Amino acid sequence: MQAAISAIEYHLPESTLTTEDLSAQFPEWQVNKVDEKSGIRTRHIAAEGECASDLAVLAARKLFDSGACSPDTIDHVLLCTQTPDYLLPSTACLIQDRLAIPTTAGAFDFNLGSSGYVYGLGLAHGLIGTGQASRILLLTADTYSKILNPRDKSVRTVFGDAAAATLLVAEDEPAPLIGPFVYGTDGSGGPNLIVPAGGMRRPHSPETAVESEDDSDNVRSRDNLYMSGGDIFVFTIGVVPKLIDALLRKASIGLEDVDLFVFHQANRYILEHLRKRMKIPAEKFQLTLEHCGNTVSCTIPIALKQAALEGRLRKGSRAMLVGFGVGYSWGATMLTWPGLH
Amino acid sequence: MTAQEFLLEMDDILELPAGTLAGPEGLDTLAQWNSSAMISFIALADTHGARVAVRQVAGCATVADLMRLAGVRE
Repeated sequence: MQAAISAIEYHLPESTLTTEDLSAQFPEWQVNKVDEKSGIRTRHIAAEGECASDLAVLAARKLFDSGACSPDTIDHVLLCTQTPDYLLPSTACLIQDRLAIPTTAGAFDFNLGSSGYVYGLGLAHGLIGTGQASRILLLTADTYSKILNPRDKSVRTVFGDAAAATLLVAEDEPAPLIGPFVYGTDGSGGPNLIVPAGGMRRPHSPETAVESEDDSDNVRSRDNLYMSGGDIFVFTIGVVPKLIDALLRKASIGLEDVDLFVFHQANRYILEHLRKRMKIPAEKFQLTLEHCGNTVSCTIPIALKQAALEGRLRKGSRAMLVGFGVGYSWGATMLTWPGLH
Repeated sequence: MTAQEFLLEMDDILELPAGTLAGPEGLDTLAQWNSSAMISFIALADTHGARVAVRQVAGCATVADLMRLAGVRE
């Protein structure tokens, strides 16, 4: 049996933070210029008390309401999040209960950021291929807005909250519809995209809450997300072209055989740089971030859904998914589009 | 990329009129030399085959230093 994507839905929180909103709050930030470069105009922000599980449940219910399947047919729940409701239990367990998925289903969280969706597809591919599951609800959900400092321009202009729900089902097909996969990790880059305090290494304390200002006038404490944009850029342009080449070799295809490239939607500047460097035609390159920003592990499923709605993915289309980011972690896979429910 | 081409690219990155930069300018004297401009410089170097690290850029004091880092001959 082969894993196949059957349906994708996503949910964006109701509250928004636009270029205009940020410009009004921080006129000195030159937000118009920042957003022109990043391609982001609107970020959706979770409400106070609205957590990753809440967003994920809404995305999943949207998927169930579309008629793709009913909750009682799900036999495994995978949740990719870096902002879980609690340290424990797994947020996926809480979601199982809220969605009334059978207690015979497996459920667990995995902690990855922008590479997470590709890893999630890999997990689902393995679970279905080995007969451990036949109908998987792969969820991605994050509320980065809750961990960044509102006076840190380097991250506040970039990240938005979201959740996506993907249904993967077992199909009796002779060849894989997802794969091959190429993965990579470089933990030496960990300090360049990190929340330094709040884990077991350095628990929250009055000291970790002390704010300071960096050389670019960004304000944050050790309780807040820190991102070294320059280091992340260098990492991305170093790793992604090699990742794509490795996947093409593993799949025994050429760049021209790919119908659509769906990268993690970090920001338009870096995506355009990569597209030109790899000589990928613009018409084969999905860009979906203007109205939601960088939603971490949700960017790829959101972009896939939008590509399908725009008619850029049809049954049989070959898509390359490329995730890269916090960790450093990266992964890429090929997808033969089955057509969505 | 020639030195002149590099300087014109840097004029654009730093939002200066074309032909402004000559090389000796101190980066700390240029109002638009910020984290965003640094990324644009790294992208420019990458486009022309030079892989530079953030710490290398941080070690540059002048536009001419950036030019050398990008592998451009003066």
